[in-house]
Amino acid sequence: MTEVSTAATPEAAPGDQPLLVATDLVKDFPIRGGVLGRAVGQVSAVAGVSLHVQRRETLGLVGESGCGKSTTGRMLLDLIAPTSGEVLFDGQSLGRTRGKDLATMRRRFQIVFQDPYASLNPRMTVGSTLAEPLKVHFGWRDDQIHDRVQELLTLVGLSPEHANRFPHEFSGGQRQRVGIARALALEPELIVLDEPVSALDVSIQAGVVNLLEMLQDKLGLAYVFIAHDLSVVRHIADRVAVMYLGKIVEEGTRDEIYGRPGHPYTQALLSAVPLPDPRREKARQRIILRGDVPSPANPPSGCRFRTRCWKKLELEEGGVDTSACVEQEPFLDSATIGHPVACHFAATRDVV
Amino acid sequence: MTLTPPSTREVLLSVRDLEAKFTTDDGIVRAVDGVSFDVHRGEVFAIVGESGSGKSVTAMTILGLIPTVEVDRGEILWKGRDVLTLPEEERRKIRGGEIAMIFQDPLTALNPVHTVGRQIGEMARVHEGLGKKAAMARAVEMLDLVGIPEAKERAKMYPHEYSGGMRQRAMIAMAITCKPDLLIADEPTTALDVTVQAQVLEVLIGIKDEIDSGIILITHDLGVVAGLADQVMVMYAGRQVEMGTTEEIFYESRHPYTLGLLASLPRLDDEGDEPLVPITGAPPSLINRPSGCAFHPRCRFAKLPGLCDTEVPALRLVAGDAHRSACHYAETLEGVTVDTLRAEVDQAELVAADIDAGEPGA
Repeated sequence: MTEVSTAATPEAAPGDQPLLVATDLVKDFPIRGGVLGRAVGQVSAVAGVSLHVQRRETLGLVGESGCGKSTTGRMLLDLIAPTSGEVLFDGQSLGRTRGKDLATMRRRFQIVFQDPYASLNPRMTVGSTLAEPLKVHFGWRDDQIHDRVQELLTLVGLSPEHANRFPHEFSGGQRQRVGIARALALEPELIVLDEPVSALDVSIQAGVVNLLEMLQDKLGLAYVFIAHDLSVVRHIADRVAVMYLGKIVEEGTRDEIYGRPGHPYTQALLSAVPLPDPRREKARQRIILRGDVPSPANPPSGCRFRTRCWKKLELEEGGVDTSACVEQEPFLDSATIGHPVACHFAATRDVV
Repeated sequence: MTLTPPSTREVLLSVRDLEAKFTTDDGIVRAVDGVSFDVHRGEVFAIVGESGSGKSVTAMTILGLIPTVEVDRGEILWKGRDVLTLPEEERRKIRGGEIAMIFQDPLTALNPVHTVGRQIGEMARVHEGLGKKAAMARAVEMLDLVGIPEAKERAKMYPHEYSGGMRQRAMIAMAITCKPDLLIADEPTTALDVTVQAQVLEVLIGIKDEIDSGIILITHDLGVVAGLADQVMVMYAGRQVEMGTTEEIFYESRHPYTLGLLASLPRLDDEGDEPLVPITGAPPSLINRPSGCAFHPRCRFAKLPGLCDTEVPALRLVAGDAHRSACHYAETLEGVTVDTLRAEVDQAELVAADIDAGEPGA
């Protein structure tokens, strides 16, 4: 696994150059209070995230509610402007691109939201929803658009006559397919999928996950797959980044994260996911975390996970000095376990 | 008739042939259609199914919590007495006192204008006639029991001051205040993050053992079921399709829907790139259910035309002491596993949309 810093150097060979590189992304949201609504503090939703996505690759971004994974996803697409940090798409800085160039660039990356009912206009037929980006970006004629809409619907497993229907006439899974078709309309190179299957029943979810994989192969897409469901991510991702309280705590290939997790948080997270297998599930050791995620408005000093860390407790019971956890922030480092992990006491453990 | 293997444990609840419906502008929704099951003391009885399968309505009907639901037929025997024929006053005593409910979304289930302690204490005041002070003391004790730190201070706080996991624990605290014999937990952890889910489930099971109650666990999460349940009932379109011990359901399922659910599930411990096998088509409307077996339009084993689309299959004993399936061809499913389904599936089926069966374009 290449380090983010080395992968980000512009000298890299063109074939190896990642499609997307994000460096030190930070997003602070103000907390407003008082009668005048002045900022009385700030929440750092994302506190320095660096990642990269190769062409044709799926990066899974996982973590629990409030860890900043969705905010990160939106910053990757310039839907939220970062407080600091930079996103390079195909070598070009998103923050510094303006006007027409930005519009052209935006065509190349798209997003699929969690709730397709909220993200589709209820008063537009699916056909006109899909036609809109084609009109705006390509300025096509009606007959060209018509053909492309039919093609898009077929591509996502719907039938061409569905173009005349409204979103409410579809089931959840079908609506999500429309959301995917809309994202595909402009032939993007990268799609950020923000919890794309979380709202669907499992029997339907499977078809949508398979569809995403099929489309990736067929169209050579890169995905950033944001999800809290670690089982789905294991199925679909090539690489995985685990976030906690605005930071990436561990990053690696799928096999590294699921097979040899090194961060105590990753380990707790994986051990908490129940397996649909009674004998294995009842025999499993579960790491139970105490307490709740601290407020991002006032994160703990040193390691952000230390207030809930089971390992820190274990070490202290064994008489180990853990003052580093409180005093020093751990940075992502591959030295101890072979893939980047941000823990002073990283060690792999089998938890699945 | 016994529906579960002879158990030494006391039968708390017996539901017999329950039929319940509600009327909407579009027609009559037959949400529960001929459901029968027993729940024993000390046992976790899981009801599994997808959205709209009737699992929540079944539970709510036990407590009489949805006024618009009409019970057409059947009995709900609570310790031998049919609650459906009891006067409302009697039912109210059972509800909350002997049978308590844990809802999915604690923020809507808790009252925002009263402190958590007062709401929990109210249970003891209503059901046990405790005074204000004693009720508050009980509330603190309960909060402590479910692992809320500084319970005394937390009891004085309002629900919005709690985190999601704490609120769900407060809900559990409220449910167990009167040491009920049966807890009905409707998707108790669905709104929670997995590390918090693990905490809450641990509390729930610990409490069950402590007060020796039974639990009806309603969930769509087969992982949670695998870890906690003793008995499992699978529902589809308002009917029971399979019932058995957890191991029977997961390892020797005799119903195509259950097998389909298991095959569609991505697993944390699947390292290979095993395909997920979706169930083709969409769940049916309960207003206009398919003829015969409601699952037949989506069933890969259906023999059409034939029994499957003409006769409603009865839930019958198919293996072991009490492994029941409502499939005409349950016997032919012996030895069929998730791997069989994976091996049989073709590429087109893997990505097929959930369009209604028979519609073109899949």
